[in-house]
Amino acid sequence: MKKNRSGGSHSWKKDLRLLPGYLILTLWVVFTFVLIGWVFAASFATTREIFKGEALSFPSGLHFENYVKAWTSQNVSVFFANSLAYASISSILLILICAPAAYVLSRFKFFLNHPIQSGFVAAMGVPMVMIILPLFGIVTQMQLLKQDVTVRLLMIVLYVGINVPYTTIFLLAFFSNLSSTYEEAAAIDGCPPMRIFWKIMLPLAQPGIVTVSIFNFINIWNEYFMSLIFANNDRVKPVAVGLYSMIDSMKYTGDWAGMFAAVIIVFLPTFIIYLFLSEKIIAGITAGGIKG
Amino acid sequence: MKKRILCLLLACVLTLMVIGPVFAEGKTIVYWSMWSASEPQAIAIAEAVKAYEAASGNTVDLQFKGRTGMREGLQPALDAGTVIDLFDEDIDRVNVAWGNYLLDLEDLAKATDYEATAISGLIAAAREVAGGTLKSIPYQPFVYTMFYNQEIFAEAGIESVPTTWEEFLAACEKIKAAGYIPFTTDDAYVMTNFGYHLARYGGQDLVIDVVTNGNWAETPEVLKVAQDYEDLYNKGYLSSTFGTAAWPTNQNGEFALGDVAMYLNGSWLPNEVRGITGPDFQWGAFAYPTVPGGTDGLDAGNFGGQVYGINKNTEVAEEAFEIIRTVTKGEYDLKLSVESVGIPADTTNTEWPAALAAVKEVMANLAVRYEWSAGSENNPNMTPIIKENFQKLCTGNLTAQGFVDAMEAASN
Amino acid sequence: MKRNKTMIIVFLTPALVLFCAIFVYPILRTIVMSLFKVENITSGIAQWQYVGFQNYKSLATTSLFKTSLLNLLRIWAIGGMVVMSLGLLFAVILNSGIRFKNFFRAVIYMPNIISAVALATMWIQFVYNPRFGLLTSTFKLLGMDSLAAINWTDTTHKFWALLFAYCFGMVGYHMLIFSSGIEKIPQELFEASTIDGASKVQQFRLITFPLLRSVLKTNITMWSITSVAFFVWSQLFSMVTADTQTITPMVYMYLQVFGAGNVISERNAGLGAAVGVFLGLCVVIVFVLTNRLIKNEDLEF
Repeated sequence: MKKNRSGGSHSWKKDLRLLPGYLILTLWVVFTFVLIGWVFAASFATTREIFKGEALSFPSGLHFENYVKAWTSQNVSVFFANSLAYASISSILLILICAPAAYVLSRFKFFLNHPIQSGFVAAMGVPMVMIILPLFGIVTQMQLLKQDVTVRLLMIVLYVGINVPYTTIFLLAFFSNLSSTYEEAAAIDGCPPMRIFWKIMLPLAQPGIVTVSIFNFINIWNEYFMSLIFANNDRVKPVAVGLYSMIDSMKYTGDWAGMFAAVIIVFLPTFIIYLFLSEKIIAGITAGGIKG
Repeated sequence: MKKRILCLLLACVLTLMVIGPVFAEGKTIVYWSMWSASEPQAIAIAEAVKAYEAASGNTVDLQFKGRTGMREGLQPALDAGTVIDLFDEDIDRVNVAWGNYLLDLEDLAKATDYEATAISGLIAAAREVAGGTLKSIPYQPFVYTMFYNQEIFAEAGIESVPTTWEEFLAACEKIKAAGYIPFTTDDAYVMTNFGYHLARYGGQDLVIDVVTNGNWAETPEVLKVAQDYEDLYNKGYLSSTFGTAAWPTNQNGEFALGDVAMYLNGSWLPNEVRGITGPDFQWGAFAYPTVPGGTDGLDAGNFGGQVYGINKNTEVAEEAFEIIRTVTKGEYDLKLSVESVGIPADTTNTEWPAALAAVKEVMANLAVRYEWSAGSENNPNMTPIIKENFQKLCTGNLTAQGFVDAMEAASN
Repeated sequence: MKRNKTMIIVFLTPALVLFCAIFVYPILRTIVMSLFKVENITSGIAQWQYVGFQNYKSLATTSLFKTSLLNLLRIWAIGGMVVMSLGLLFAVILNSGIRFKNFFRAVIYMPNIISAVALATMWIQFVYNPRFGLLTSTFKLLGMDSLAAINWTDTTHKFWALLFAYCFGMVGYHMLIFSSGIEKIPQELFEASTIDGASKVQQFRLITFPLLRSVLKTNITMWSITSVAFFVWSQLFSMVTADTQTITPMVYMYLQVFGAGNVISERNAGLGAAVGVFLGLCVVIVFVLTNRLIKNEDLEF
């Protein structure tokens, strides 16, 4: 049982039995493709064609200038580099900080355990506006927004901090699903608990870690409000703020084709990264298998 | 592998940090703008600012924050003491919401004789909202008006634009007979139809009184408004998605593509739909018609503009004012007007964009200023409820009396 | 045991420090602020005006806020059921040994990585468009004229239009969580039960579902948190002015904190804070309830 869990070769008989499943998934997938395909097509059309309902037939050919316009309207490449740095550094830090915490919360009974969990969950329910704006006040008083370096570091700290409750709660569920027989066996072998965590439990939780990292990466990539308030110049701005401003300007100038081009520009990198990481999930699952 | 990626990323961040701002000689003026960087207004303003920098030797830290960026971000930044010398936004928002941060501009305006070539009605409006003194300088003026498609009017044989409700109904009948839909709007603007119509009957104060105090059944004019729009619906003068289509479905669709004759909107409309209409669209405009027995005439309407405000804590007030002058006067005002199909703020720029030529007359006649949607949105707790019931009325899902009853019930 | 104590401290400290630094002060400030009338959310405490529970009382008597709560409840309950059942269904199908699993999974999750702005625009301007929209033209093609004539953004259909569009985007996320839970179920259980003659449906009812309880709990918690923060979609479905059909508590809070879109209305960040406190409490209640109702104990395998 190393590789494919369905084992061996597919037979037509089996496929036939799975037909309803194929049907449902295919329907959904076709619908998704129509939707996203429409946006993609619209990004090559003209606004007039979009509103005439001719986005899919390109009566006047493909309009690549929509992309040129969206790309050159802003410092998109700088925004991209910023977002990439913020999102990847923050997601890595988040795992290093939250996985141990989630593990401890899932494994040990101590008097603060449940209050901490409830606190984390409650924190996720409080609107961002209420958290970001008071923080902004403090940070400005501390003069932390004067230099680009501190703004960048601050943004990373904030991205990490804001996602701590979510990541921890998410990983908690994963750890509590892992059988404790592994730790017991390792403890009998004389392995100290902290090493057990890093050497055994963390790799076992890999599917969860990969999943939550994808979510974190995409969340941070798309995060808007905090970036808007804190990233106060074009050199430190992430791409989401840039996207909103592109979309805003296209909307107010009635350039809907340009708007869809902007949407595609921002969507493509996350999509490619997602495809790449989605392969990793599979790898993580087969490698981490529950066989003792 | 992971480590290497991490190192690479860190290196990226560090290089980006090194390419910091290069401080030039002279003073620095920080200017936050409501436009988004690729809008035509922003491009024109950026050019004007560059010209100012070249002429003065000062540096301008110009940041295009966008509308939501200003609405959400400016106040916290000002409260936190961020240096922002100059900012722009809507006339009411700057003067009312951010009034406490504004520098009095009377002296600066007098020193440069600013008002000599400014639109006096707008300057008066700016003084009025600031409580009698000039705290903001208007530019990019707008007028709210009834836009129409001249070709459809010609085809339907309408010779002069309607000025009364009777004439309006007659025009609708002709348009319908010619095979077009007379009137449309989107969900974002449907409240202005209600507000304007009620204000035509009893003035803006009545509108505000009704929406804030909930005197729906007690005010007979409300029923009249409802009956007039019910009548429009019953006679088939309204688009089937009047006020219920998600903006900009109808604006960009049935109106810009020439299926519908009229749309009540601000003078920014030609700019917003120019990608759809193309340059050949024949724009017409007239003031919202008067109603029988109503108090308000064609000289009452909503107009305003974006305005500039200067932070009262600024150390570069004169420089900031000079930037305002660069943008709102002469060459760059004209450029702004041409690029964004907008109304010029400098009265010596007499050439308006062709699409707005008809608006000029409407604006020239204005004497009484309505607030946005004639005050019908002044009670945000009620706005969505009025909107819902008015939408139902205009799509035949509620009778006139039903509208009044529903509103009376909702405000108790 | 002593070792465990140091481990607990070492492992928890970084997360807790960050949590305290970023959440505790703003949350406490929000709770206190909900008892005051505050014009600007950033104004100093000196400008706050104590009003006791007035903000909460005024929320309880504002019909628009009640409408927004009802909308939220409908989104949470109805949307939750739709999303959970579809997510679970897809996860089960994906793990039943079909081909192109990775492809299907990638596509179903895809809407999640597109910004809400793009997704909502796509639905409003393409799917629900009354002139050339996907629904209208499909129904016309099928000859169902009465369905084709429906304006999906009018007052009677807008809420459902919004809810469906939102659910479409959320299914993939919850499917992934269910799927990663199913993948952890030992394959032997299925193999053994197949040998014993259990059908797919029986396998689902007796093996998959019971073992997915804790994942279901995660899903419900996450769904509750994202529903409570329901904002962007509402705003995009009713740009400029709010709608009774789409308004949610967060939209209402936004109105109180930043003022209305077109007009300069009275702002009261204290009222906004009260909404925030209320929403935070709702999430905790749901979390505690799901913890009580769905126990973890029988999950060892």
